[in-house]
Amino acid sequence: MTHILFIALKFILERKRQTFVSIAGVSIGVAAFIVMASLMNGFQNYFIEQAIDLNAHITIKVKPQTVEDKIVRRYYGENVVADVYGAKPEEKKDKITNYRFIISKYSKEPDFLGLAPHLVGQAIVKYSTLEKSATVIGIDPIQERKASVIDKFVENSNINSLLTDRNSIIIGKLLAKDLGIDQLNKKVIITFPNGSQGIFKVADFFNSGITTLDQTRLYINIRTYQAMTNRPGEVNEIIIKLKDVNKAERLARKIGSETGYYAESWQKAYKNFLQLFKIQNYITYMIVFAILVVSAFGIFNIIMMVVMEKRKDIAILMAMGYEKEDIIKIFTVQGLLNGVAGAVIGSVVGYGIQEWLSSINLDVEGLVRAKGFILDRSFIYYIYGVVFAFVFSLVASFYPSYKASKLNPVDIFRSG
Amino acid sequence: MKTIIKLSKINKIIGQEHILKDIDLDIYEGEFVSIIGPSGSGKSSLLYIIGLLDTPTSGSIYIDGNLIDFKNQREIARLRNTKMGFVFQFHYLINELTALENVIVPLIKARVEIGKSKVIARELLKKVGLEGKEDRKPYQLSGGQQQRVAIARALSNNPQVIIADEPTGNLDSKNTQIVMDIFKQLNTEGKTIIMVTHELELANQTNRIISMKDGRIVS
Repeated sequence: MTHILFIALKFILERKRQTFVSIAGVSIGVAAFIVMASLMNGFQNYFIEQAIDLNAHITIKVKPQTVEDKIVRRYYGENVVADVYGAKPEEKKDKITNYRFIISKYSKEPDFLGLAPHLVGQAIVKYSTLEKSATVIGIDPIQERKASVIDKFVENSNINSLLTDRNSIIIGKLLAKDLGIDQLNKKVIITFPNGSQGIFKVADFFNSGITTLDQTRLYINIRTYQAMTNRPGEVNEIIIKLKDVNKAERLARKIGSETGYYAESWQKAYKNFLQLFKIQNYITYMIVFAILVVSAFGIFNIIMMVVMEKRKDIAILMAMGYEKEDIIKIFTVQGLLNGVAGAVIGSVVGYGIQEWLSSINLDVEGLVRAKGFILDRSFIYYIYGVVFAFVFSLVASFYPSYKASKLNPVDIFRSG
Repeated sequence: MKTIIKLSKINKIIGQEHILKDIDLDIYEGEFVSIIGPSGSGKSSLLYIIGLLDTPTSGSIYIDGNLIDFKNQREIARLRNTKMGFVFQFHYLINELTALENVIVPLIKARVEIGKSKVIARELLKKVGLEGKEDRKPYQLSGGQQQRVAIARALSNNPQVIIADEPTGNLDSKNTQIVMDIFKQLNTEGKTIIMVTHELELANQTNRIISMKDGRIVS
């Protein structure tokens, strides 16, 4: 192998400009891959982590009504079958009747870390002259802690105030901002769908970083909510925290079939986002792939050019006893060395860009809110980057190398 | 005298052209043979086949009494690397390498350690009168010096046979004589040299002249 490396290195080092161009191409591809992958996955993982923490791993709900449920009456008679459709769906109670049994049943199973009841509905929140609609979630703070990480998102850790003061609420940070509330203990008026109204004290802010949630969510003690909406003892949602979030789909199916209620895994709840992320990933990886293909073409062109220029050298090497395999290796090693050098430089550049991005202090406001860029700085992206560079440069250099090995030295000597 | 290379009924046909016709030839160890003939007579084709660079259409070649199997390209490459040294009309030095590095290229292929290769290469360059020019690139040397580097390279693995295809074709008379003197010196040291030339004057300096015409050995 010494003879291969010796000649390959000499060829590379004596052609500094071409070598620089091909290494630069690979470096850009690798750095782009590392930065884009860490940015994209950083954002997506952050979103998914927050979403999983906030929205339960599995949510048991009352089954959503389908078209068939809108049939209000069905007549059967001799030669007669008739369905009568109503303008409005059949009234179905929006409640889980046996929720205590469900909670105690699954609390004992090893896959489940905690279950908590919710009563969820809509309401209008009014502060001063401003009104906003909100999703009100009635919770039992003690059980809620077992089934979610709500404490993580409550700014001043005042979740217990929902127990001590039944007329207190925890309001979404952005909802509060929209209403002009920037301090705790402000009083708001909440109007519930049944027309009842109450005055509530803002005990804390809920700040998850996910804009849509922080803009609409409002937590209240479940007993207060039941009383205000005249639904004593009613629950319409049970949230479940699992030991392993990846089992959510399977366990949701199991719960659904066992309880008859609609059990929704976090994957299903965030299906649209997950789908969007998938598309986003495809687009990003296609762009990076295109960059790597372009850099591979750079290597291909340069090695092809070197092969054409080096026909006489190839002929004399063959005359001196170098085999076809040696010729293939000499040129493939050149491509690989370019690829490896590009991968190393690209990784260093990628690391540098990651450092720079993580030092930028700016308010990111969109699907999620954060200070600065959220990066996933996993080492695996470096490994992928290096492997891609290696494979692309190997593929790009193989064909010219193969062509070089097919040269007939006699033809070259004859042509002078 | 021991036959080092034996050709038996060698034919070479390219397309419709019959380039070599039933060539029988024995080259003996320690001979300095020149092959002469007009352009197109087949002398270079014969040399390439003797040097195992080209494959005959039919016939057999024996090196040191062993029949060459042209299907075994690995063995042929090994023979070219260890038993033969090539010198061409154009020096075919690798421009990226210094004179010394050009000489070590066949050595490292033969798995000689780089340090040892350099020692051998220095010795060979000294032998061809290029002491002190080891670190020069080919383009920093004159035509005659380049050809002498090529000769040093051909000698690197201490081959039994030197194959030279018009080695002085590109040189002035002074350098031509320097190259011929080196060949004669090598021949006295026991190397077998087979040289194609179109200059009778140079052929006359060799032990045996093989004349070719229309693909046949005529004398």
